[in-house]
Amino acid sequence: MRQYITRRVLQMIPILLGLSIIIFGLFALAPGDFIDANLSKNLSAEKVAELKALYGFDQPLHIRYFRWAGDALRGNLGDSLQFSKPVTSVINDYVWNSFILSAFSYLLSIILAVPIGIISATKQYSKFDMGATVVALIGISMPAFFLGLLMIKIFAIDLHILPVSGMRTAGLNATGFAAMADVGKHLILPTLVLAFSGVGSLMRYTRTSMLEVIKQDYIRTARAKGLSEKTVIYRHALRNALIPIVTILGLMLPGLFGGAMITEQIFAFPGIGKIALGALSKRDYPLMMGFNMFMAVLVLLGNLLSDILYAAVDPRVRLK
Amino acid sequence: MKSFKIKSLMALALAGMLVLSGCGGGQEAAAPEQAAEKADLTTQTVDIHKAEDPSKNPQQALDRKDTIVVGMTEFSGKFMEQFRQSSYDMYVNQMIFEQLVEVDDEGKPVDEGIATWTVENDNKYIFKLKDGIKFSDGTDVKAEDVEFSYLLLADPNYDGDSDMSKYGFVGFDDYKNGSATSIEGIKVIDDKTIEFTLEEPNAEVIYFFTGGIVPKAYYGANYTKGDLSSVKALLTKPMGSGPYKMVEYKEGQSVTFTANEHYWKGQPAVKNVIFTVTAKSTAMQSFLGGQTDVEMMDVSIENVEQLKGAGFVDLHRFPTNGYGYLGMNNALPKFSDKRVRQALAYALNRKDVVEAIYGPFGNVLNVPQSRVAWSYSEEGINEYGYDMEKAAALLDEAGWTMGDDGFRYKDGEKFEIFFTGMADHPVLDIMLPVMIESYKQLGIDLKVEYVDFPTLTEKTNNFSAEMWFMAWGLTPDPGDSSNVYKTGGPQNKYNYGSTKVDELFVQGSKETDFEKRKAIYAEIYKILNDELPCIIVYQRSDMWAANSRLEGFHVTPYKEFTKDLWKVTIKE
Amino acid sequence: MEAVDKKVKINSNETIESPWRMTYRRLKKNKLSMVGFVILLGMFIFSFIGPFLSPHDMITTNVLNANKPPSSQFWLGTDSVGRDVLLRLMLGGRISLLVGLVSVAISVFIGTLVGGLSGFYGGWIDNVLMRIADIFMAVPTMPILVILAAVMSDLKVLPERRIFVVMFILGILSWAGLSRLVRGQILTLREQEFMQAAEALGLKDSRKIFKHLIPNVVPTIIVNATLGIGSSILMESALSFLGLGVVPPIPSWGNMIQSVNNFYNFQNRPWLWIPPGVCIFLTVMAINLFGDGLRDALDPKLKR
Repeated sequence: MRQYITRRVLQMIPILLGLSIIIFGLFALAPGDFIDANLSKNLSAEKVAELKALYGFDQPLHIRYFRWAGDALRGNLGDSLQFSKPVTSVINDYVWNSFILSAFSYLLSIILAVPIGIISATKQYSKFDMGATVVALIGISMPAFFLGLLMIKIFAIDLHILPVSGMRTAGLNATGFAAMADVGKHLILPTLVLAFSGVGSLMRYTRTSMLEVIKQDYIRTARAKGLSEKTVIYRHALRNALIPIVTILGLMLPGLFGGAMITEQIFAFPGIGKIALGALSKRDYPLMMGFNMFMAVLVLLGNLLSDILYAAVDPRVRLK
Repeated sequence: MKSFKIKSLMALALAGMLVLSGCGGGQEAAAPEQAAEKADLTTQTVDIHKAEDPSKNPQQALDRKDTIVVGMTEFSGKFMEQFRQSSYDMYVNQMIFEQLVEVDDEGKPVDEGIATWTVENDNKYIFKLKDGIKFSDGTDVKAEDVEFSYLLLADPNYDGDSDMSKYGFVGFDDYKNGSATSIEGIKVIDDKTIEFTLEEPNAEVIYFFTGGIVPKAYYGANYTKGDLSSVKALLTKPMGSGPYKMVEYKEGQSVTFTANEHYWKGQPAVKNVIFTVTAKSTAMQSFLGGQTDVEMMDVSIENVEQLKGAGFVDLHRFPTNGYGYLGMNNALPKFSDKRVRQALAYALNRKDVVEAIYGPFGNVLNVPQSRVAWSYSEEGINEYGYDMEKAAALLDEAGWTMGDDGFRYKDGEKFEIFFTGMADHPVLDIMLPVMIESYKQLGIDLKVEYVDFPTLTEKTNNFSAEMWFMAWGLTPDPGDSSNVYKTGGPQNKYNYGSTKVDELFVQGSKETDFEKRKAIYAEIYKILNDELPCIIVYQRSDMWAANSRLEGFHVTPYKEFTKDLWKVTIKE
Repeated sequence: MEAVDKKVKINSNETIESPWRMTYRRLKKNKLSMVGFVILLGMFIFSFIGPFLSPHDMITTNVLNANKPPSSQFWLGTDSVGRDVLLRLMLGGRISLLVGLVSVAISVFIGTLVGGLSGFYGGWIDNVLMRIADIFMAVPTMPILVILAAVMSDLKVLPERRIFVVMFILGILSWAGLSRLVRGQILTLREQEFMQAAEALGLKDSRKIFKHLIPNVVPTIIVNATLGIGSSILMESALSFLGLGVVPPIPSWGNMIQSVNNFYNFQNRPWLWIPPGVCIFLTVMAINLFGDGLRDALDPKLKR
């Protein structure tokens, strides 16, 4: 196993290098640059040329890439054009907010999806199963912003018990526990929205996986041995059914830090997702490069984690 | 998993709305307001609707006894006018910094700023700072602070949006591109006096003096010419002489201000002000729920109804400083004939479209200037009212004859227009279907493609777009339009050129008498209206909603709400 | 034993059915999956044939008649420029259904193929394919789409055609997640006895993968596909922003549902967004039911 992990980690290096070139190339090819995206000023042609030279846009592509790569290897991801501060600092400002939001909603998703998926599978085609299926499908066929607006309408406007948007109440100079409670209140709706969007798919995968396991011969054997249904399901079937689920968890790693872009938009939540999106529309290259490389690393790590978990949890799997 | 990428795409859709709302900014300072009484958009400046039932004020708002909360869309953290790019940062800066020259109602310069001035020989501006003006740390504002504020703009590595080179300050080039240690044309005479000298008279420079004045001791502590890093490090920690000072900035969330006890005009009545980020789609709800006291709202019949119905809202509505237009690449053969452009204008029912989008809150506009600007003129203007017959006649005249398939042809070529637009655009969503239908009737096949904003900008920049829709923001100086309409102008994406118009713009920039200047621009507008390099569609309204417990809230097209916020009191 | 693809009468009381026949029969018997199939068929008829029955058309606008609630003339009311919502709903289905199915079909095809090969062969093939999958997963989709939009704009590709190019590209960019799931399952299945039996029989590799392993992975693929179709349909509206969705006057369910972005529309004009929402939900539901039935029908362990 250790050999495998080392090998994989070493492989990540050339992949990241390749990715950085691809991503850099993509952004360079995208039409319009930071100056163009901020039209609405009366800039003369000379001024535009001057600005582009200052920002280094007039340099040939490979020089710009090597400059970026050289700095990046030393930990300097450049300065964000929008914010005029280091990319690492900008990401740091926002990513932890996203992390809290994503972590809570993943937790909620898992706590809801797995049990419901299991029960759905054991009672296939029952009213419970059909009901859960319908709810899950609603979750994935509704645009997230619809769900968000619905929740806001019910809880924030009609019932007036939760805030409409943001992460903190403006003007509330709370500290310590009161401050945490304030943030907590603001987290409830976005967490629910995010969880509801994700719970459907996780539930369906769990149900499917469980259904497959229940049909296996060894379950039939367990039943034949006279074990109670409860033991059969929860001791024998569950562990095997969870195997694919555990690997899905590894794939969720990028999501934990990538921010929930739509949800953050609707709730004006100060997360990295919102910022990353804005960076694309504004063609803020350093920020886009920095953020996407960060995400690329997470994707690779998440996949690796997934593979490791899979091998660790399922004795039948042999990683060659 | 797939879902991540999908979510990011959908989020982009929402984000796009932010970009659209942010463009059209770029105003410099504004002016005091005229008396406001109920009237329509065409003659009067600000329409104020007073709250009808203040008892409906939400408790959350009422509980705030000494704080005003203003809703904003986002901040970029460039809290210094010299480097600012986003319009929301501008509001923050106006709370903190002050200017030499202020602008009145109609956008004319007045001396309500920190200085009075005299002009010698039309090219020398002598500013005298008023008494008692202090920065929020208690130090006096001196002429050297003014000099420093402007030297930043001339720094060889200055990468902000201000373009100082166009005014022709004496010695500017030596400083910017040479080794001079100061600009000859910017001279500090004494602690309170500073002189600016231009090579030639330039009537537009007076608007340049509306920039924010910053303290040299604070920002310039480690500054050397060519190295702006120490200045930029203070972008999120601003300090100025304005009515408020910044206490805290939470990225992506809020900016908190507290009153500047040294403010020279007097103590701000309300001690605390917070600018908080609200979501575009729920800003109305945040406001109605009492989370915010002030917010700029989109003007639509529904929004106005909702706000009026809430009972506790004062509405301030006025014409936007800008206009929406249909751009065309005049160099293309099909658009090079003026009659074709005019036909396209006659065939579009702008009145109905504007009414459908903005109701009574938007107006068709025919000249590239705001109705409430001092230089606005309708002399000799053709209104291009909806007239399909006239349009058809003009096209016939221009050689486009109707074919059997319902489309027009000229020299064997079918009349097709490739329109480049943006998706989910409140104006295009309504205007494009109408255009497609009307132009089809006329015999023109309008094909629409969607791109995102930077791509659209690039397409117009390299003249590969045939027809598009965008909006310009206007500044108090009518001369700024020359960038758009003069031959080869940096914003002239229409490939339009008229020597007469060019001459007139040059005359206008040199003429310092306002009445004479006004006549020059009237002439320009008349020509542009006849030649139609672009089809101007509308001027819409801006609207600020204020909680009725705020007394003295004040906003006009040329004066942002921040200018008089320090005078606002909270009713018991 | 070799399966035979036709019904063979052994004696008067028994018949041997081919697996496909068996699947078909089971599918028909499963009421719910038939319901799903019927709904899906209904959606197709609604979208492709419905518009011919409508007295309205797509181009005529009437801004003075905008945003009106359902009436006898306009069964589902009018939109912001006075067009008939019902007609737009039907026409919108054409785009949305095709868009959903095409992109998911492509990603399922590629994902299953890659995952299958990867899981089965292991070793360096697995490594290379999965690292390629990693790259596809890590590359940000949006810049690619923006560039695609610009390129198509420069090439003056007809706007009506662009959406299909996009769906194709999206399918190609999104197979990676499924391939990992498929591979994962195959890693487990590979070691089971039935595979050892297949090995002992000396079956060809492709046969082992496609006739024996993949069918066991089908349930997961189906779940993935049903989840994918719903999001593809919704994604199309987001693509407009980048310049890749439908352009006026062509409607789609995705861009009709965007009207809900406006709180006022959300609260006061339900006829604008409820119909497309319901259509998307029904489509996803139908595919899901049918898919579930398909899975059960393909399952060799069910004795029906």
